[in-house]
Amino acid sequence: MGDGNRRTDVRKLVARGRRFGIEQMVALGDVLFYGRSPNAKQLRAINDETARVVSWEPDYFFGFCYLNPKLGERAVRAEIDRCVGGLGFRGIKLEIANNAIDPCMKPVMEAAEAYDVPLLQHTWSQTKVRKRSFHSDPEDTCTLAKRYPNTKVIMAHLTGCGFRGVLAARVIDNLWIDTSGAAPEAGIVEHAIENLGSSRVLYGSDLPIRDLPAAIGQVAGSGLSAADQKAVFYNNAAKLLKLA
Amino acid sequence: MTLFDTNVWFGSWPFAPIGIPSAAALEKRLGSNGIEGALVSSFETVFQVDPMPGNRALRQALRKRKSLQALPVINPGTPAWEDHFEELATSSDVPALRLLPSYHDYRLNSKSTQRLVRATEANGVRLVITARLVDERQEHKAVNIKPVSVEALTDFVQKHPQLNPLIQGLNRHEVEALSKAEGQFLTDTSFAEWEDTLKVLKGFLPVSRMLFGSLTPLHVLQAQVDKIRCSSLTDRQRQLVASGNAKNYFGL
Repeated sequence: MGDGNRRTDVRKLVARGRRFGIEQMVALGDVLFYGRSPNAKQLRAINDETARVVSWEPDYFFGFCYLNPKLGERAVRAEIDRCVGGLGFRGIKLEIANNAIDPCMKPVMEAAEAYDVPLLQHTWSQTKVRKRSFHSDPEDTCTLAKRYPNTKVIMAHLTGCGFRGVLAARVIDNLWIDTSGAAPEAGIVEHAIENLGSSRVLYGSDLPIRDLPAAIGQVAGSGLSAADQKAVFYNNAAKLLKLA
Repeated sequence: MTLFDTNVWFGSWPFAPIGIPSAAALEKRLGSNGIEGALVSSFETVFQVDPMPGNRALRQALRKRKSLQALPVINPGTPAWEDHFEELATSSDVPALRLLPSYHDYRLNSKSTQRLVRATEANGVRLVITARLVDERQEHKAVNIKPVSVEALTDFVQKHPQLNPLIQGLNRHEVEALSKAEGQFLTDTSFAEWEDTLKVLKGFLPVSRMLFGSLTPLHVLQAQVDKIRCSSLTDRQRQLVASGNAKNYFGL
């Protein structure tokens, strides 16, 4: 929600989303605003921003709680209790404070399981990026999901994970992958459905750094059947987020 | 809204099963998404030192396709480029020439590129520069190709202020940075993206400098078309980006 600090901007985004058929959205704070490893105060400010956006359009947005696992168990647990337990956020969002296989993930994963909310882990192929000490490769996020089979993990950025990331994600029942990421690369959505099945791929836009109609068009213009598109655009998220 | 696509490719791509098998199939794919005309280059020119066999095969493949025009690639890094220029620039069916500096490993400020620029200016031939074909973060492991840098492009357009090249494959931030250069250029929409892309680009680039380019088949065509069709710009502005600017620029 980089443009979410003004109510008029949020209203415009909601109107544009509805115009193109998006009935509800997950709202994430401006997670890299303070750099890749925010302190507890900065983290609260980001989550407060998310809560404010949700409060402006409560029928449209669900909040996800942004965390920095490097802050330790006590800080992590306090912010999850505040945001998920108190503010009603529906999931957890992790960025690039640490790699997904870092031991600091344990309290985060245990809390996600306890609250039964999904964890959205930023993921990008490190074949070219090469920042794996703090940046999760698809194989790291898959390892995380395997280590905690009772926690639901969403591996963000299908295009960033690429064909190798899709192959790594096979047969991990507690792992989903979202369609957001980079430019609308052809063939990758079909490859994900072919290898993961239609129930484990979620539509994601990465707004506002991507174009909403283009993000929708990446799925709508793929070779997926109507039933598979419906699963990706709505049914899978509805089940995962327990929408009414 | 009529669409003219300035960034379409034909043939097989070595790293993904996305190639479109025939020119007829390509024309059908574009037509089904509302595209009435397109400039097409050949993937066979990308990884070959000599792009001419790919160019010739492409022109042969497109000869009966009324809506598709070949956009041949020229490589000023080869000793024979002047003969290639002569063959291509004198053909009535060639509206412009494409440069692939990253894939053909030469600099825009090389002597041969400067000579090529003078030849295009003398012959009234448009130049299309591909800054990027694939997001460098997602290139195949065996490929180590960087996009043409904004610094190199800035230097190029400032050295040739009247050339007015079409520079394709720039992301939103690169377009913004290049827009500060003292020289003219146009760009396409293949990689530029932000929520409501055209409106954002319009903040630093006149609408008259934006051309629709889908990068089919590397990108999902509908996604690229919807980026234009669903923009919040006025109907007239969207139409200019969709096809009007391209027709003016290439004299179609």
